[in-house]
Amino acid sequence: MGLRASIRVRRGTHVVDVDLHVADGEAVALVGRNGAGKTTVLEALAGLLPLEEGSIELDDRRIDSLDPERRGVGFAFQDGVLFPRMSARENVAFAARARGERATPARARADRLLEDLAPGVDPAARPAKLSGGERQRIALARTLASEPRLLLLDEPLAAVDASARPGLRTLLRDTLAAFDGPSILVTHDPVEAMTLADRLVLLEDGHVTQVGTPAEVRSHPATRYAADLVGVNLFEGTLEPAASGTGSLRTAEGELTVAWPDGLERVRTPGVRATLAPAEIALHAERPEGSSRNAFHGKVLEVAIGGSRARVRLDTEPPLVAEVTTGSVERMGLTPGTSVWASCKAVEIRLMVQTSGPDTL
Amino acid sequence: MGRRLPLPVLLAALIGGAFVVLPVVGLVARAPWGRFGDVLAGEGARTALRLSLEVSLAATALSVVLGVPLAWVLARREFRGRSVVRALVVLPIVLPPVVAGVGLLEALGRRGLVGGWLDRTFGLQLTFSTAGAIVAATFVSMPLVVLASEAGFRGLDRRFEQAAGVLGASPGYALRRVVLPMVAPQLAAGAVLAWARALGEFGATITFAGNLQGRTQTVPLAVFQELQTDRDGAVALSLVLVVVSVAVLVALRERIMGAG
Amino acid sequence: MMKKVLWAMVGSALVVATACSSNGSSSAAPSASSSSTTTELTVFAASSLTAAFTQIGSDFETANPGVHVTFNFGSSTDLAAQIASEGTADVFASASETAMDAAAADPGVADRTDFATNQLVIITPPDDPANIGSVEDLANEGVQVVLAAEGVPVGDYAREMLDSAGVSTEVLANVVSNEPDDAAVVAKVASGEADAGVVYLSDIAAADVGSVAVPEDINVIATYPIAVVTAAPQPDLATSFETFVTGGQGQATLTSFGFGPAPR
Repeated sequence: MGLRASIRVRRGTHVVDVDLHVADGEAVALVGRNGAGKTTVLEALAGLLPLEEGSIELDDRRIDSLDPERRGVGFAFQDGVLFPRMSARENVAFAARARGERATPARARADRLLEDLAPGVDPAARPAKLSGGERQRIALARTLASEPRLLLLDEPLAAVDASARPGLRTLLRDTLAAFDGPSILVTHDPVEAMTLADRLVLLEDGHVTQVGTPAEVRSHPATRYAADLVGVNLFEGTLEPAASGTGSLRTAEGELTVAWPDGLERVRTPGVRATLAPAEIALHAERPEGSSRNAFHGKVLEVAIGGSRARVRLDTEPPLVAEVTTGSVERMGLTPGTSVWASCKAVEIRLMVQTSGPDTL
Repeated sequence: MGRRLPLPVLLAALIGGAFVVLPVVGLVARAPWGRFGDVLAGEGARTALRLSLEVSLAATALSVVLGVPLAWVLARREFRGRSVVRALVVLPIVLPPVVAGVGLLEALGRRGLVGGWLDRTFGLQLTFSTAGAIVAATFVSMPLVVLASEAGFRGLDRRFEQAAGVLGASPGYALRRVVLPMVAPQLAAGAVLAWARALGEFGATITFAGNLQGRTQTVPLAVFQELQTDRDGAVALSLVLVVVSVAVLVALRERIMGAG
Repeated sequence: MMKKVLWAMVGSALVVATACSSNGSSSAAPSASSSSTTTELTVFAASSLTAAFTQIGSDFETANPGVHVTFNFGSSTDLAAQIASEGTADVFASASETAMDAAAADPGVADRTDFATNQLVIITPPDDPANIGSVEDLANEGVQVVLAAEGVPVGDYAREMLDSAGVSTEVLANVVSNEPDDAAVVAKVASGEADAGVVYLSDIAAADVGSVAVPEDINVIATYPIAVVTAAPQPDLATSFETFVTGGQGQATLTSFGFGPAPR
């Protein structure tokens, strides 16, 4: 049961090569930068794009040679794509009518679904008269009304303005939780991904680079993109023994002093990854004294303020993202171009010594 | 860009407008207003008018029924030689109508490629018949429907059809309930143009269908014949056609140009 | 820059418009001056004269270097109307007296004389599918007959002849199309589209049709008048052309194309 797909599609010079398994009731977020191939995967699953190679099995049934109308796949487009000459009600009732159902019962069911998902929206209204958020709700209702076995949502919050997002996000969470088949949500927004999905599948350049729960990806990001996504600093390089039980992690961008991991032979070890939480980095105007072994000097590239916390991006060697209080930002006068010292304790740098590559499940 | 039109543009527009309006003004100026009633009461005129309306409406209907699906295929299906087919479909617009008539004769005349077979097998003869007049009118007006419709289909975001498909609609259902309502303005514009063209069709009609009162003599043919014997009558009849055409075009213009 | 282009377009449009409206000839002086310019002679002639007059025209050009003869062939009634409104014709050769009368009334003609006669003949496709052997056969059921329209000289003559033969009603019931001129009738019959038609004797020489003679007692003799149009651009040349047509060479050509001689 569920979805088992092996998808290989060529789009111009880009190749998308993805294997996906999604269980019934599971919501997977397909995350990646624009152009990574996320929408391509959805289109292939829906039958809007032919597979060059591979297969798609839904509920133990091969569907990759079927036309879209026979697959039982629901696809909600990024900007709704509601039929402009039909009312909200008629849009939602479309699938039922296309199946041959009578107009009156289909419309009545549509009305009920609209009441649930888009309360306050006049079912007789045409899409042009509705806001982006309302249109997305109707699009969702329309997709659910077709009673699909697989639910695909393409960037559902992208065309919605900030004020409407929280409400829509809650609706999506409830919908995904209640949906008993597999569902896949495409997004480039980490918050969306983390809050709505049971599992994340990270797509870079048409290939899957990491699969895991939000917690797993947060604690062990496999690539720079994954790290950026979950908001940690990621380093990769060769670990060499250094003075008094410490180690030196030499990366292409700079060097860090770390605590030598227990149980690891004190020899030169390549292929070591390390993460550092932004909150563990302290910022100073002058070179810091003290036991922190790591001190880096650089300029501020960017300051992003979110409530009481702020994220500061630095062009140190290696580049770092630090998280400090907004008060600190004001006190130190941190703006792009300001020179600053960043420090952290060696022990806060968590090392990952592993031989396996990215997950492919 | 200023709000004033540049003078050369205005001048060209005035000349263009005058060029088109002058013949109509000429007709109105030389019309035998006193004889209008006689002319219209005459059987010849009324038969020609009735036949013109019948033929033009039938040709429009046929053009839409055949032309819209053709436009759909040209817009949505890729196949080898598509550009050639498109060029051929549009050809009747460029072809001199008499040449079109000759072509129709060679294909559908009594001794024509297909016409000969029709005559031998079913005893069906298109030349010298009202059906033949409809065929001639359809031939020259269908390209207008195809052009307008194809533009409409091409301008339509494919995602609407995709959305309909994933919701379980067959391509036919999607075409009927999603696509056609969205391109209705363009289709209507095409149909109106086709009707106008069919109404004025002369060269192909007289070459292929012939000229006989009550059967094939539409208003343009009647006017041409009237010129031989009764010039004033010809002018009067011409004016009637002009008035009818202008009335319909004005009435529909807002709906089609405005709404689309 | 754009403005210049627009002015250029408007300017050229005006120039083209005026050039076209300046009556007909693009060549220069009306008087026959230098041999480097050609003089245009415009002849309006009935369409039944097409083949014959094209030959006569080229003969006339050979005899008169520097002259170019332009023809306007059509139904005589049509031509008479055009002459009245246009004023570009030098010579008018008509297939009917009535049409010439109309031209004489407006704008007026000079040196009117009859230069040829023509008779009617029944034509059929080469394989004669309807088996036409006589005028009466045209009245047989199911025969598809084409005539020139009423008002066109050969169309009127044909109806006159059918009336004399006493088969008017039946044959007219068999008429499937009224063509604008005899050339169109020939086209419809030669192609096999129609079963029979009535045209001039002169029409069959160059056409691939079968023919059935019309008895003399009911046949209509059409007299062809020719005249110089009043206010012709080239009056002297027009008279010269008329003389050529009524002269030996012109008459011989006409006979060779199936026309009868000018009536005495």
